[in-house]
Amino acid sequence: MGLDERAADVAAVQKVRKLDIRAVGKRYRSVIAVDDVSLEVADGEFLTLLGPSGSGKTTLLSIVAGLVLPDSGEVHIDGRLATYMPAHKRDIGMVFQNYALFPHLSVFENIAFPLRMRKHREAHIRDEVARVLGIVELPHVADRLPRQLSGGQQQRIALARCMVYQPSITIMDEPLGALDKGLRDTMQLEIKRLHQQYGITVLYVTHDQEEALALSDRICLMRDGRAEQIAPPSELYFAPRSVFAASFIGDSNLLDGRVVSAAEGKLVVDGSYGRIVAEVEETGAFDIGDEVVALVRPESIRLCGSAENRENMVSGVVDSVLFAGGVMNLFVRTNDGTGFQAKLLTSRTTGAVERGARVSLSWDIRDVRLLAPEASDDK
Amino acid sequence: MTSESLPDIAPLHRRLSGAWRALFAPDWKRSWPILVPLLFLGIFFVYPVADLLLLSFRAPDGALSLDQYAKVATTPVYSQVFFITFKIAIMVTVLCVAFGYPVAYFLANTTPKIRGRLILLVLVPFWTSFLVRTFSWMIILSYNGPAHSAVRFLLGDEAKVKLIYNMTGVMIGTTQALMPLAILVMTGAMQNIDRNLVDAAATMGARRGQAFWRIYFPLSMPGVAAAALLTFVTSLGFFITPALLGSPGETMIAQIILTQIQELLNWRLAGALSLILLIIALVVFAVQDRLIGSTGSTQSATATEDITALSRFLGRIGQATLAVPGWLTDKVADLIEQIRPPRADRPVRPVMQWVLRGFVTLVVLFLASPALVVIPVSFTAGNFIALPPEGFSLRWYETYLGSTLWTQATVLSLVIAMLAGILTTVLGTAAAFVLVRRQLFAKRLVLALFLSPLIVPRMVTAVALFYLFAKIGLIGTITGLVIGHTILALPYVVVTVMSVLKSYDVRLDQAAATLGASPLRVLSQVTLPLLKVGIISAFLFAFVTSFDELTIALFTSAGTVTTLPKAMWSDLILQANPTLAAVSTVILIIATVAVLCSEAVQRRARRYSK
Ligand SMILES: Nc1ncnc2c1ncn2[C@@H]1O[C@H](COP(=O)(O)OP(=O)(O)OP(=O)(O)O)[C@@H](O)[C@H]1O
Ligand SMILES: [Mg+2]
Repeated sequence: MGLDERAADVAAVQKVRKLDIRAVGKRYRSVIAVDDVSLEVADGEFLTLLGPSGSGKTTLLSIVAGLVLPDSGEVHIDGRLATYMPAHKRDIGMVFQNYALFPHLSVFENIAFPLRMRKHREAHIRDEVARVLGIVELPHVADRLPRQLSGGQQQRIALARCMVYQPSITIMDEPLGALDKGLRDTMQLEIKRLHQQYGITVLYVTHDQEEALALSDRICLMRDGRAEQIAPPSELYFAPRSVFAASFIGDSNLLDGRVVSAAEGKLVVDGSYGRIVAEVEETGAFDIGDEVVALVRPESIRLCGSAENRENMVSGVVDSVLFAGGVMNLFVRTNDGTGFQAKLLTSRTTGAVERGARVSLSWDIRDVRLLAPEASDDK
Repeated sequence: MTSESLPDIAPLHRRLSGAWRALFAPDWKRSWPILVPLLFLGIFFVYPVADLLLLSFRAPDGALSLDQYAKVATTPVYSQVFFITFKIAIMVTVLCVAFGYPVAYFLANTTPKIRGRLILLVLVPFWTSFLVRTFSWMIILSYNGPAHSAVRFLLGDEAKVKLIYNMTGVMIGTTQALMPLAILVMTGAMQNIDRNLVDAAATMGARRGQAFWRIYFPLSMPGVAAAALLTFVTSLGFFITPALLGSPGETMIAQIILTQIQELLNWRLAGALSLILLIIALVVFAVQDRLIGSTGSTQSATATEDITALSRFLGRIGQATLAVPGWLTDKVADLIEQIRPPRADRPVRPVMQWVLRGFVTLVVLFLASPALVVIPVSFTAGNFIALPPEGFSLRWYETYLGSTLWTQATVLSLVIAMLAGILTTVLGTAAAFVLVRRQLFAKRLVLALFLSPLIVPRMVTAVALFYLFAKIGLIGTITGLVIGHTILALPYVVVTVMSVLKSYDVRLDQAAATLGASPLRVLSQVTLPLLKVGIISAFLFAFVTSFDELTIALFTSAGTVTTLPKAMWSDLILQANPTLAAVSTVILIIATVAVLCSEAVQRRARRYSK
């Protein structure tokens, strides 16, 4: 499935490639902020940069916007080389985390600003500002100053100011970071609506993995300035390519082990907790004797009777049970001390499981993903 | 009484009882430490200044009389002096703001490390003695000095450019003295401007010039206004630069007050002129408060309409006005782009960056380097001040060390600076503690009182103290000088310690208290050690203020109790000689040691906090 999807991606990108980042690098003295990143964004795509603090997301965005110049590599916008093109010629829209609304200008003048810079006629400016104020559903605030608006309203005005000149690419750096949870959910829907309705191309940055998963067509997972993995949300979730990707997105059981046999598309891994069998597409990825990390998502794990004989099965004692309505988190410790997390849908039978009970856990061989261990020299 | 009428009365009642409590049951038991500095300020500042001002309304027989004001209004000399004072103040303000703006812009937008270093250089004039600086301008600008040689070299021997003993000289000296103030105030304001705004403008299609004129410049205006008004008010009270670098044509109001007292002992006229000067200063501060204070504060819902209408109106005018420089810079940028089109495959050369850096370097040199000329001059072997010096000798240092006048003055100034520094630090710290930590009735008023020695022109304070000291026999005493200098340095100490205290985490004290420390031990073992840096900086500032102080010393010094600045001033007016260069060098060294101490203390503290 991964291959097919990737082929489709490539086709889409070749159709209309809005943004093409090639081997871009940027360092600040001893810190490598962006390290050889290549990335393509198709027309109408919503691509999110996701990663821990300091992983180079803002720097990469700033390079695209022309606010920071790269040390190496190339940036192409709409098929034209733009690596060192001044920001004001790039036709890019940027929504900043703190909105960057001009405090001394009214909402109207804020939104009119990009049009004035493009020397549009006054009548046209008035119509366009009214139009986008309608789109963000705030037609009545035109005369206010930014500080007279609530956080959510300011956010909408920042979006409107970006939409009014229909930039080639819209860049958003943690646009919802300053909002509280409820407002953030509303604004996520709003951004999603604007993206789908108007077909804008978005390059988005967030810390919040749920936000990234919900909004994006593809996610670029950043780590220490590098692009760790670029993939659609579901692929990133189900087929992470590294332990970092697996642990950064969603909950995960990561189990150390060593490959003991490989045959018929199945790999068998031995660990202190017991034995894991995994179905793999190509057996060649790992040799017998290799250290591996097996990823099993908590929701893939089921409770089973101790007498059953499954390919993947461990038994242990329940450490704690966290009841969260529809789902229940079960923390189980095996005899050797390895902890397992299982996420189960609640039902009357699972409700009976209590702390200290002895249980058996099992999962399908297709729900195991084998990963290379992290290099130990990582700081 | 119906229940409906209750809500009307309740808030009023609450407000009344609140005021009642504030008036009659304030936190006095715990606020007593502020009483000592308050009393000090009352006796040695408020009372004498009020006394002097009231004196101007009293005829010799004690009756109310406005004759002094009539005299000021009808004598052309005075109106002329006021006119010149205003003219100089306005010109200096324009120069300081115009030349300081690019420097402040650069400082606000560079890395913290470079900013720290440059600010230290910008502040050099602040730390180096005012007299030493003025003296070094006398050397540089003198008719056979380097500046005139350079002019002759550039424009030919016939060039009739005069750089000293005229308005030009006064401008150069005063601008150098006040530009650091303007730069600091503007830098502070500009650091609060969000850099993202300019970046946002750029992404929306604004050229650098447009982004600057339409976004950055209007946002920096409150800082510019604050800097301008502060420069203006401070320059109103100047008398050293016009006296030493100007001609009688540049006589300023403070000089007139000085002569009225020193030569004519005309207290009443001096009082009248002081009151006028003070009123001008207060009016300017009030205007500043109105203009700048209101824009920063939050608006109530009712005020919103007005402010929106007003800001829209101002915004339109502003936009129209700023469109012109914006358009101009656009045209220039167009022209540059035609000569050298921007290319997407290689970085543009940051030409404007280099222009700005060059400008900043020149201004910083202008601010920081002139005082250094006293060092080579002090080693001259010749009989007169010469730059470059004739040969090398230590004879002027021998003269300096051999003269009891100079050595006595030096020791006296050091002793007074030390005493004034300690007294100011103790009083100022006590006041700052109460102002920050305690509920106090009319806190703003009390704070304003502590800051008022900054607002009242120094000449006014000095004359008022002279009047008081003459009555109670403190003229020519160390005590008198220490008191005077303490009054002047107190505002700096209060502000410095208050700012440190505000950022101090009170929970540390509470933690110590819960761990069993008595209030005294909390203060001595937790609070004060943590505030050490701020307090030491404040002490050093007070020390340097006193060490450099001339105005009060002019009146209060007498006979053997003559401070170093007073001794220098006397020589500067009579005959400037190379001994003064040797003295200046010594003063520079002492000031440098003070600055380095303060830097070292702050650097160590920064290491702490990391
Ligand atoms: N102007 C700068 N000067 C020096 N170092 C910088 C500068 N800007 C960024 N860095 C460094 O580059 C690295 C990447 O920073 P960047 O701001 O791109 O991270 P980020 O992924 O946006 O982080 P966050 O999620 O916290 O916003 C960091 O280590 C940061 O310290
Ligand atoms: Mg960032």
